[in-house]
Amino acid sequence: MDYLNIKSIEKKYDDFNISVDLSIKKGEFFTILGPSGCGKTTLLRIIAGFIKPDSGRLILNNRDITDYQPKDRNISIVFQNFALFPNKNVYKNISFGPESKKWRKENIKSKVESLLSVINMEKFSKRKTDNLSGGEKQRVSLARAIAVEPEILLLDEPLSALDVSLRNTLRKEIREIHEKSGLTTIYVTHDQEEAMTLSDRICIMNNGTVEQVGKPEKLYSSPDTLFTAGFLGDSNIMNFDSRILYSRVKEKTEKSSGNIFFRPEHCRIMNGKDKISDYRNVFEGEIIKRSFYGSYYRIEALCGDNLITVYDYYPFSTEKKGKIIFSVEPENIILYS
Amino acid sequence: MPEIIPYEPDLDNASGGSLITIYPGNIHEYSLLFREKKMKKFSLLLIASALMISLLSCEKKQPVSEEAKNLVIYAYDSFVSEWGPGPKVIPLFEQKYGIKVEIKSPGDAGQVLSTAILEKDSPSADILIGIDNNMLSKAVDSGILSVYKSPELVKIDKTLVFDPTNHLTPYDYGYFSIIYNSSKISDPPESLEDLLKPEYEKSIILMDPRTSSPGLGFMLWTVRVFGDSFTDYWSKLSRNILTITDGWDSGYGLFVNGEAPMVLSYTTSPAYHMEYEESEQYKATIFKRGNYMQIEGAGIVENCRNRKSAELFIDFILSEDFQKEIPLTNWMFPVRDIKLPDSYSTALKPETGLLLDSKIINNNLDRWTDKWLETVNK
Amino acid sequence: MIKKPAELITLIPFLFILLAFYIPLFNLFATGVSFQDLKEFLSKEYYIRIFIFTLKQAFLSSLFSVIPAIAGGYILSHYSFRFKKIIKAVTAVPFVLPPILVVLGFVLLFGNNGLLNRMLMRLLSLDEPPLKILYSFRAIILAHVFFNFPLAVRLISSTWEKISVSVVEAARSLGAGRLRVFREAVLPQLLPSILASFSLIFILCFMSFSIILVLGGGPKNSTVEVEIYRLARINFNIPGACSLAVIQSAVSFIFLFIYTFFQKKNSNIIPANSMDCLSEKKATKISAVFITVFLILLFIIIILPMGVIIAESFKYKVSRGSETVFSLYWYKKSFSEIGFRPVRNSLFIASVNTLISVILALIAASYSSRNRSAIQLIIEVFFTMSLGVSSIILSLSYIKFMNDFSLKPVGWLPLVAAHTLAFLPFVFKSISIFYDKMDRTIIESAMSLGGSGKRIFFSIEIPMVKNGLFTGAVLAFALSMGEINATLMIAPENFITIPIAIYRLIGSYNFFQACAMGTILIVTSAVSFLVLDRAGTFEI
Repeated sequence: MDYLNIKSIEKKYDDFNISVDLSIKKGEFFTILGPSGCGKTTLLRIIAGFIKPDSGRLILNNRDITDYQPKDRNISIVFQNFALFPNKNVYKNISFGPESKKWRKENIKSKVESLLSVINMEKFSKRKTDNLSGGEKQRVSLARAIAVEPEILLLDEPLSALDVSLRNTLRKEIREIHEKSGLTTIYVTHDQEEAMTLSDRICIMNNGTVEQVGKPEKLYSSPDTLFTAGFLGDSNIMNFDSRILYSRVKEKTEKSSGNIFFRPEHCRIMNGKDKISDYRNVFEGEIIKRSFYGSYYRIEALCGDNLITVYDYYPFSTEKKGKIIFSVEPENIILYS
Repeated sequence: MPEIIPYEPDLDNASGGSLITIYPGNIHEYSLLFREKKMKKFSLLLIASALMISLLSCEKKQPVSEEAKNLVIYAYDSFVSEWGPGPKVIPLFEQKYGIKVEIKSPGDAGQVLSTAILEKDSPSADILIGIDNNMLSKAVDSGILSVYKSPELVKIDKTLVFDPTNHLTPYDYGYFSIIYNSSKISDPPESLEDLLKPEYEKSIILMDPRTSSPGLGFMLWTVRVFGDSFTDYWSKLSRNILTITDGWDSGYGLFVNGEAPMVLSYTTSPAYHMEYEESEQYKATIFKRGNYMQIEGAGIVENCRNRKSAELFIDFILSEDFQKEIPLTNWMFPVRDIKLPDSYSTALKPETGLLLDSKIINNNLDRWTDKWLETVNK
Repeated sequence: MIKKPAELITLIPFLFILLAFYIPLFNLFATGVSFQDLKEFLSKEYYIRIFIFTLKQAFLSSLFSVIPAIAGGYILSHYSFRFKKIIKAVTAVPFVLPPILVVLGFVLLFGNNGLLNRMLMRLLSLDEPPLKILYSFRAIILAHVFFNFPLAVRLISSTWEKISVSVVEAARSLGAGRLRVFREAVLPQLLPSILASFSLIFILCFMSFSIILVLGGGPKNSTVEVEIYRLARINFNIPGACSLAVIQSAVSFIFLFIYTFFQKKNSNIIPANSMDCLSEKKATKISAVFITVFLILLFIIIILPMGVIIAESFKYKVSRGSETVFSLYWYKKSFSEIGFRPVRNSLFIASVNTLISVILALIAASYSSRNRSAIQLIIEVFFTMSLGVSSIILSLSYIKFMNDFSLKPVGWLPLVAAHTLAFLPFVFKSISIFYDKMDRTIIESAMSLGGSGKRIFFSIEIPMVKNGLFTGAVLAFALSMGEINATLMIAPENFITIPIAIYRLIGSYNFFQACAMGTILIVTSAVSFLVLDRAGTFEI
């Protein structure tokens, strides 16, 4: 069952258009991922009701909310810059929503207190928000958003204003809160790692349109479009007529142009003992850069005109410089025309 | 895990209003203020009061009726001031004739006239007070005044009846004079030429003829005495002028604070210092060829709504009741020959009062002022 | 289609400005302005000279107000010293004083027979006053600096407080010298506030009138405003006056636009968070000298001219020839003659004006903030345009409008409307600055949490612009206390305010009593500014 249905939503700007169809399931952690300027934040603001679409409908839980005011949508949002109410203390920030919705006093109190304990900030209840650290602010912001028990929780790059270690901690907390509360969550980010570790499903957006929607694993292993392929993870894309020593792909298709795609971890690096003729799709390149990542080396090599990335796992088989020959299994190669 | 506490909406306090509302749509727009029903009354109240302030604070003029009998007078500010003649003489008139008077000041005498000119098509005022001999022709030509020859006019000196067409009736007059500080100047000037003496370098405070009536009077004085060569006089006078102020008040203020030993004012000025400070330190000068005069008059506005009362008021300004208040409030000579206060012993009357024909002033004033400006700017 | 009362409310300020300003003005211009006149004014050498002079004095006045204000802004934002709050409050007072009082104060202090000259003459036993400051071009500049320096200092120091220290420290750590750090790290962030204050002061000086004539020493220093006066009130050439006013307003308009543009830019400076902010330092030895010099200059130029007025008001000669003694005579005399009426009326008009101005400005600024920045710029200029129109023309337009539509002013309401119109630009600015700085996502968060428009407005928006409301309120109050032109023109019969009493007292030889009234005005304004500084910051 679709919980939120984004039906042919369109919004035109002078130099940019948005045109989206999406459906999101109840309880899902759904991430919209894309480069900056792809329209993901605009889409989020349309869902929240801050921007009115030119056409299309928003259906939430069988209600058409397209013309609803933001305050009537029961959709909460957490912003990158926290957006806490500066004149209110931590407690009052969290209680703002329930108060607006005219909850009973005792319910508000127990709600805020339980949320304070969830974010481990019971002691900060009376603090001014100015004096909190970035991580604390974002926790309060998160608590404030879920205090109203929204039907959907929107998160607009909530971690990008924080430093790396804090980001990792908070990422875990967000996922935990999601799992415990079962809130339908839409998460906007440009960070693919965040997207892949957090999400049930990811929607890749580009240029105002949806490129592909799917589970992270699916998107990673079989991207529908070249854009998705290139955007998610390290990837190699080269022209079909690149220098290929031996290829089954070529035998299988009649095409003579297009692009092929494969992941660095699917490259099997040959050593002297391997017989090239035993492998299909064998590439040869010149190593130009080799960096150590602990469990593997990341190697950049030039195959003809193409810069190719290859991972060299233990036991390592490459030198700092020199030739590299590797093969890719046909099932790991995708062909785009 | 966050404990989800089910809530029961407090129906009694919940705001009404349906959930579906039309959203106006603009990137940054959000639900506008005061959407709740209960706010509507408050909002309407606010709108009403704001409109009241911006619009209805001005009520429609009542059509001419028997009740609209208030006599409306425009006068220069120092006339209506607490220290001017207004508060003394107006109640007298009201009592005597049972006519309610509204006296207003749009500013200085120039503004009295320009306001009346702006309102020419439907005048608000019945009477203008403070149009002097220098503005006479402008005022008459503009057609805002109507003729009225008061029967009381016979009681005053004929030479003071400065408007032969009877648009304006004189109520007081004075002589411009250079007032000097006797503790600093022992040998006061006796003529305009004397003001050029080298020892008076930067010693005189004058006023600008473009913005002040004494300033205008003094320039016309020099025109009256020197004719078209008045600019030669001014070019010589320049080095002795400390400053030319925008109005009499700031100029006289500089003088009293000791900025310069001489200032342009009226021969009546020393009477003030006599009356209130018992001081004879400040003295007036009488010049051999005479001092230029200022005669102030009042006139009835053409097409005014209270013609009858207005005529009564013009007669009133020539009455003794009005005239006796003039010396100590307006610091001018009354036009009626009445007993002056003792302090007026210091207020000299020159033998010759100089005047210029108002028509000639009207035709030449712009040219003279431009020439004057050119000269003092050198 | 407008259906909701809320939308009607947002219309009120616009309607007000239209009715109180634009319609009367265009009503006057429609009958007056002619191409012929415009062409003549722009081609006649005489007028060109006046234009050049007006521009020149405005430019130099702004320059000399702004340059020391940079030093002042540095001191106020970087150091703490004794009486800082009181000094800040007192130095803001000149901005609201009526020009005639400023002239008086300057003459009493700097004049040939002024305090400074008398002191120097006695000290050095001279016969001639050694300081010839007044009645010259530099006196104009000095008086304009007195008026406007406080404005510039406030604006610049409040921006400086927000400049992130880490940027400066980073630049320092990269080995940049102090001067280079200032030029490359501080100045670019400071520049919008410098340019904003420059252009605002430029507009105010551009319209200056009596200060220029009296202190400048006469008609060789005359401005466009004086010419407008001459055309309107001496020549009764009202169309000519209008045409000249159109040219004058066009220049003001340009600077108003520049001002608004830079002021908007200024608000884009990302405020440093509290950890990154400047902390006020105690003065070191060298800086103590610097601060002392600054304070002495401040004392002479800003505080003393007011001080001498206050001193004068307590002087009284019991009888002729006797010594002057300290006395409350002039205060007693004032109260016996006019009672508490001027004080009461001034307080009343100022309070009502403050209330209405703040409400109108708040509604307008709140509305403006919800629009795109280009539209915001237009709205701001719409609301501040009245700053750039000659007060002579404004009063004529009022008279004509009232007369053409047969409206008759009743009671004190039109006076309040006129005050509101005159000071709304300042109130609007001080509030809109805070709206510019406001993070829209905070409002959006509140909306998505179910906050109603009313609740968000009162419990989120207003607290966030609270300082702006305070600034606006005190400015409206103090400016209204000092207002004279409009009050003279449309005040109801027998309605006397403190500035009118000052004006009339000077006009009827009562200088000491005028000083007593002036003292009351100065003290009231200083107290309101002190209250404001307690409450928050002061920005325009």
